[in-house]
Amino acid sequence: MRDLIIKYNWLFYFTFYVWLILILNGCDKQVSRSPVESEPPKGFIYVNSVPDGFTIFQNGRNTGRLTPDSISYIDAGVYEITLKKKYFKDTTLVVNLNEDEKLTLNVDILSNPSMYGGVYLQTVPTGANITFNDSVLNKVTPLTIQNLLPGEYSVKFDLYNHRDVNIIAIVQSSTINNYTRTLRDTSVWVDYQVSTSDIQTNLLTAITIDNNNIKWIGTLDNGLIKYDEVNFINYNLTNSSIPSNRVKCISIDNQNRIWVGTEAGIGVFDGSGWIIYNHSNSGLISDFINTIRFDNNNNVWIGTAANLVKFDGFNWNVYNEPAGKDWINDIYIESVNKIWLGTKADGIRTLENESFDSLLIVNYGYPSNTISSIGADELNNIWFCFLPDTAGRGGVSFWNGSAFSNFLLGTSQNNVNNIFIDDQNNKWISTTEGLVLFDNQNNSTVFRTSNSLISTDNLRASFRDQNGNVWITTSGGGLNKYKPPR
Amino acid sequence: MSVRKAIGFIFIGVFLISCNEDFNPYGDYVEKYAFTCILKSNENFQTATLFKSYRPDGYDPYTYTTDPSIVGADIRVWYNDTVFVFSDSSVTREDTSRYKTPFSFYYNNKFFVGNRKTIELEVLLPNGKRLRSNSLTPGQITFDNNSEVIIPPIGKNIVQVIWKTLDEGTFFLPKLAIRYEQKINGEVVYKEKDIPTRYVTQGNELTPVYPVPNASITVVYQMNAVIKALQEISASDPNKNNYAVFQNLLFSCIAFDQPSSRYLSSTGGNVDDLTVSVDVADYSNIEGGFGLFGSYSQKKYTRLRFLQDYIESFGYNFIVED
Repeated sequence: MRDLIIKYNWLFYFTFYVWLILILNGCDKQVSRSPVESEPPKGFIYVNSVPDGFTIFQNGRNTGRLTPDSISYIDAGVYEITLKKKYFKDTTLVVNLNEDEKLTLNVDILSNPSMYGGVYLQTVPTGANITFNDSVLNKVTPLTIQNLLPGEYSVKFDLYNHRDVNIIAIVQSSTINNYTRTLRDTSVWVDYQVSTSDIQTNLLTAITIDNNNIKWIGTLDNGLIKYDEVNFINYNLTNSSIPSNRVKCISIDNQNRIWVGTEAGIGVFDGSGWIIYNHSNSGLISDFINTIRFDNNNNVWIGTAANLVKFDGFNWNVYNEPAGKDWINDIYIESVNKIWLGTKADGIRTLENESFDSLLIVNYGYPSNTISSIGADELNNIWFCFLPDTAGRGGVSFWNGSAFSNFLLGTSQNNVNNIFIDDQNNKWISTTEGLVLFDNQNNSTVFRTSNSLISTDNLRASFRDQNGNVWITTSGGGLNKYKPPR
Repeated sequence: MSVRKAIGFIFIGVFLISCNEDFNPYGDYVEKYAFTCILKSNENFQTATLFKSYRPDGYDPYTYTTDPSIVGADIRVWYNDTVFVFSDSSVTREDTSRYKTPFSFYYNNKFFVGNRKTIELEVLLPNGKRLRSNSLTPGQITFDNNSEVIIPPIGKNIVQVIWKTLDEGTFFLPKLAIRYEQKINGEVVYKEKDIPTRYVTQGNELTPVYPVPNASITVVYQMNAVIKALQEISASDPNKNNYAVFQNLLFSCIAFDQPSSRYLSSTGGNVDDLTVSVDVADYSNIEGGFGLFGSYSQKKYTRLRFLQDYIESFGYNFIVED
């Protein structure tokens, strides 16, 4: 046996080495391979904060994520994590993330005293009650509130006989923000403008008050406004049948219906529906309505840009004066048989027993030939308001049955737009240079922006309500309420 | 059997068996991703699509019917210091011959892009991989005063609009349309009719040729194409009075940013809704995958107007505009 092994020894080793070479090299081949793509990193940072909602910045870049959220699949390394939120100081943390580490960051913003801020609340005059985020504080101005979380807070100041002021107070970290507001005195004057109330426009024209103490206000651009001292309700072309958004005059008949004269006819509003009168469905020749008055026989007298019209409920009677004297600005009904007409550029005229007559300026010496408004006092004096024209200046006059007494108010360019005479024989005269009051003795007082809190000097009309307050419409200054001393 | 024979069999056996291996036609499979997003200047509804590559069982790729779109990715675009996150959504697929599931896409409806603004993209796939890209939105184009202003033009039978840009290599896509109203059962319906640049004869039929994206800074419309488009408004309707054409035409020109222009250049100007297929390597500006992240801006040319007599010669009413 030993001989046999020796005899074949060389063959055994030869076979073994061939086999080994085949095993090691026999399947070796060139293989084309795509580049090996590395696995995405598994690093993960979960960021939580109290309160939440902070924007997470990673190495100075906005991630667009808000806490609580995570930054996932990121490489190992050092990261600067910053939390930002409006009004808060930034909070920055530097973290070292190991490979495939899942790291959680809990940031308690509230535990950092420097995150808090405060507000200093002050009013002129002081002593206003403070409502803070709908909570009545039972404290008055001036007041400093500290240790507030940054953000926006609603603050209301209220003081008797002053207009409430609502503001949004901003609290920022480590800051005391000063909010000082002047409260408008409303003990005598109250203004209702677009910026201070819900009124729809500041461009107002006529005003009248009905039996229910409701104020009906004409506008130059937004139709009719009803104000019950709570809500301003607007009737305009888009939500009602009113003929036009430009209202010239308003009158109330004995059925408490509102007659609205516009530049496109008359709208009669009974609280729910509208009756429209214009040149196409009535005896009106012109749709430009300047004034509407009622006599004791329930006739409606209408002054238009073309003529005087009488409507008895069924028939329309058009009075055509001689050419050039047909533009009627206002009407005063002295009796069933005599009415007074204020014209544009043609002076004062009367219609007595169906016959026209003129009170010529050359004979009576009143200020101008353009009359804007007429009224009568308790002594039966008839008051006329005048606009400046080629014949003269603006002013006011009253007729005592035989002569005119003139009052030249303000400058020569002053437009005296309207007169309202109340039950105490006060004459409230609206001009473009303020409100003029003639008392029972005809002593005058002028209210202007320079000596009162009236919102503007450019006034259009006035009316006194059942509570004794005077409501004044303005051109550009909205509605004003004057509370005369009692 | 001798020892010599035994060793011989072992040797042969090892030799024959050791390298036996099945043949596989595929290389190593690596999943790839294609992302497409062209941000628009004329609307705030921005969309994006995201697909992955796939390997069919056989040699025919159409045997693979699993929707390759990727849902659940986190797509963010940085624009004007603000991060806009895209939400995923889907719509019913019109062609269900291959994929049965709804068509998936991503959208954000809160921004539109302005001129010459940096936009950056980051897509985090559900498997943790990231795609990144950035671009600069195209610059403003201005229309040349030599552009036509009235139709029909005086002494010419073409309508040409010319514009300018400061960006070289920009591709443009112009569009001209007639705006008109049609009375249908008593109701007036607003419509638009695109005007081709010309018509070509194919067989016995005239085929319209519409502009495709290209680098030209002008477009020329043949007047006979305008005439034919005007005639096609009413087609066979004998009551031409039912139609009213607006005085102003609608001409708009889209300017693509550099990546979109390069993509369009590489694909021969076929917009194809700018959807990039997986593994299309013609052009890509997506780091970590394939595809296109770009933007375009649209500018309208408002001086091109019809003459009233001309429109009325077709029997249509004419709507005068300021």
